[in-house]
Amino acid sequence: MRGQALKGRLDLLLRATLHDGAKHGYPVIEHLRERSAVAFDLPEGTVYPALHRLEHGGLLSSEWSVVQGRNRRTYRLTEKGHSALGEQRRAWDEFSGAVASVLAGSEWPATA
Amino acid sequence: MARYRLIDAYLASLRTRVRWRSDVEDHLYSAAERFEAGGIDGDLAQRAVLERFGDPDLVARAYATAPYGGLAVPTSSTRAAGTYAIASAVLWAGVIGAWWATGLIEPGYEWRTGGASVTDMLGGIALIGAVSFMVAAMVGLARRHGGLGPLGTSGLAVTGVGLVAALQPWVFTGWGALTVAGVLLFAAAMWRQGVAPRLPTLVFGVGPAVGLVTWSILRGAQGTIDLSGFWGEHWFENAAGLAVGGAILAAGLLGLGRWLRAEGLAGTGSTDGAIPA
Repeated sequence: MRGQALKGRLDLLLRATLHDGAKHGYPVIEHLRERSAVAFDLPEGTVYPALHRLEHGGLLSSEWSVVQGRNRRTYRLTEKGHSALGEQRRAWDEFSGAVASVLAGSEWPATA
Repeated sequence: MARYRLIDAYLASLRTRVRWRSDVEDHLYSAAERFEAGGIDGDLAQRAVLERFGDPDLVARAYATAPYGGLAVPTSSTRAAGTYAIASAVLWAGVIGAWWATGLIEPGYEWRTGGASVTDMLGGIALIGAVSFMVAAMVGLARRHGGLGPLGTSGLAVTGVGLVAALQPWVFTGWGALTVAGVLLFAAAMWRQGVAPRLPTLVFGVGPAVGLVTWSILRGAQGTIDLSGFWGEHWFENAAGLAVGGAILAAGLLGLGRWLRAEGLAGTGSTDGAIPA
């Protein structure tokens, strides 16, 4: 599943990967890839602008550290990010439940 | 990192299109190490990492088009900020020259009541220009990164107040102190967020403070630091403090300006964007 299918959902998914704690960019992207069973296999370099956008919007915060001589930026969900994630999760559950219900409910009736 | 020549080449190519925060480097090297730890050959690991990361043109476009995603996206206003920084550096040199000329031509010159000399007037104009261009460059730098947080905003605000104070150039302890504090705060925010090369950031940030320290030592050597005297009474100490601080500040601005001017615009880079073979 490439970027187009993820459009509009990437921010939610990135925040969900950070729900259980702070991570730097590489594990965030790996987590997204692995948890989706490689279904979300988008060019990894395009994820960073989304992380930066979320940070700018106050949904993530980040801090630098030096690990093995390299600068590493670790992202974490802010209070606002946690709250927004909860709301969007509920909205998504409602939406996906409704879609699943419609799809499971019936095949298109064959009319005589 | 010589060990990862393909990743280094990729980063060099991406760098011509867009500047980014160094989490990109960390990502690529971390991913390559992970592949290698899994027993994959070095070059093969790097190719796989770069394949997954995406073509440099695509990544540059993602930075350029995402709202605020381009925390490090060069734009035409970024290049303008570089020009402002260089213009400020030149004008700071002009301020130094004007102060020394004033002191050397008329050592006991009294700024407030003696009427404006030509060098004094030129120095005042150069000072207002230097601080104005410096503030414009700082605004451009902050915008390039989607803001530099409370520390950067404070630094910018204090320097902005310094600009207003510089409208009265003879109150040099006022605009001087504000410039020292504002530039130091702003450079600290730049350093903390790693948004620019370290050396010019450091030189820019500490320049005015070093000037203040120099001035304090020279004035302190004369006994007490009395701020009530007129400028000409201590013209050498005043001009020397400005020369040291202004020259270091100008060097930092020049470095930042050249760096900003050298950036290519995202999405308009060269066509050699393929992942290195």
